[in-house]
Amino acid sequence: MTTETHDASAVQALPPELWGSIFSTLPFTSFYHLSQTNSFFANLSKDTHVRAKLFANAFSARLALDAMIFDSKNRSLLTLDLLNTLISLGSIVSRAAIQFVTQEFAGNRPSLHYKSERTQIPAFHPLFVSRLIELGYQKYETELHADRNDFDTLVKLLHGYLPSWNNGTLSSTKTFTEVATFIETYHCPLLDHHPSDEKKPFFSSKEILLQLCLDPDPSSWKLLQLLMSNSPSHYRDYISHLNTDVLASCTSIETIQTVLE
Amino acid sequence: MSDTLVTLTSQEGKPEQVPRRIAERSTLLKNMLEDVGESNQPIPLPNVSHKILKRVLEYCIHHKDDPQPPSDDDKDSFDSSRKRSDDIDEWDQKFIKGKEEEHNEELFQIILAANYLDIKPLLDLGCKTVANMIKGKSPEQIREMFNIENDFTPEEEDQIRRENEWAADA
Repeated sequence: MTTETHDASAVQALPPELWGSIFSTLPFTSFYHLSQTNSFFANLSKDTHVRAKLFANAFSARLALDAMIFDSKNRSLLTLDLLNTLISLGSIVSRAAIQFVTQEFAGNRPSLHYKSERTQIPAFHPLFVSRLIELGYQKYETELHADRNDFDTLVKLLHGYLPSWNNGTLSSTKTFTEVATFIETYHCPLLDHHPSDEKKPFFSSKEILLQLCLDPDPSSWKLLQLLMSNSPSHYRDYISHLNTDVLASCTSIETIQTVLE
Repeated sequence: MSDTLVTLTSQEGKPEQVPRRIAERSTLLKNMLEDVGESNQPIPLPNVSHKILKRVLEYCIHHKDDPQPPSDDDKDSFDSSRKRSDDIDEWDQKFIKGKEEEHNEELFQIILAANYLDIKPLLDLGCKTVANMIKGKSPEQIREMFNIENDFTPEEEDQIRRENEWAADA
């Protein structure tokens, strides 16, 4: 029996987003117990943002959570949405999430839960891509020294997400710039042909190529040059079909002319 | 400018006068005052009762010299503003405890007011307090404390237990 509305139940006392906020500050055991009280809290416990914040808070509180949630038993918790939300929350969390994904790739595990169900390609948050590359540099330069395996892991991972550029999921110039610098610095074999199709270059989208051509950032020209040197015939064919107005706007016109010649 | 008095009108139409810099602990009021400029018009707060408004202002007066919290837009601020529920200072603990007999009701109303007025530290304090009340309690004890109805069928209860098992022994 209820007497006053606001006193009837805590469920009605606060809106779901505030309960979500409270939920995410709880230790795991309390999260587990609250989720069992009734259906409102059970549903809230499944909310991606609530879970991401719960993990993020636990990370930030340095509860050595990474070992717990990233062990094999709990791997299925990490959906693509959850990873992407975690990554958007902050640097400590991002580092742990990135470490997890690179370990997954290193182990070459066939069932990555965070793969998009439709495309089977990881569609990572752009911040993830950016930080991943950053991590690649740091690891290669400061931590790994002669450990070639981790570098190869990173390359594998980049192979995994590059097709997302082709389908338009990722198109940030910053990321292009980082990839260009990465490829150049480490002579990365990244732009070899796609493993599933020898004839298909990674960057097959006309829009992406055009963006690179029109980008005033010299780092993008570098990427364009690298692309062209990897698959000159493909890109020559494409560029020769660009109309003269577009070509006139290309900031990397010298590169293009060199290839066309 | 910061010594100017601002009049806030509660849900019941009762006015409360506070120095502008106290009112500006609320991001909502700060933005409103900046938008309106110099004005003697009272600011209506239809979502806040007079009793809760006075409690909120008590908090703002005590914390008038605290630095403003980082903006939510700054995503990297997450690490530095991490949510821990065991770092509440003594004054805040006493403040939020209020009167024992109406603790829950008042606590939830303070949280709602802090959310509406956009006073992040007070909102955090309220949320942390609720989190602390939940910690260490069984599902049955939590239901009792917050008057939560168990609307699960036995099958559903079993299912949610299995789904969240990963958190059980953490």
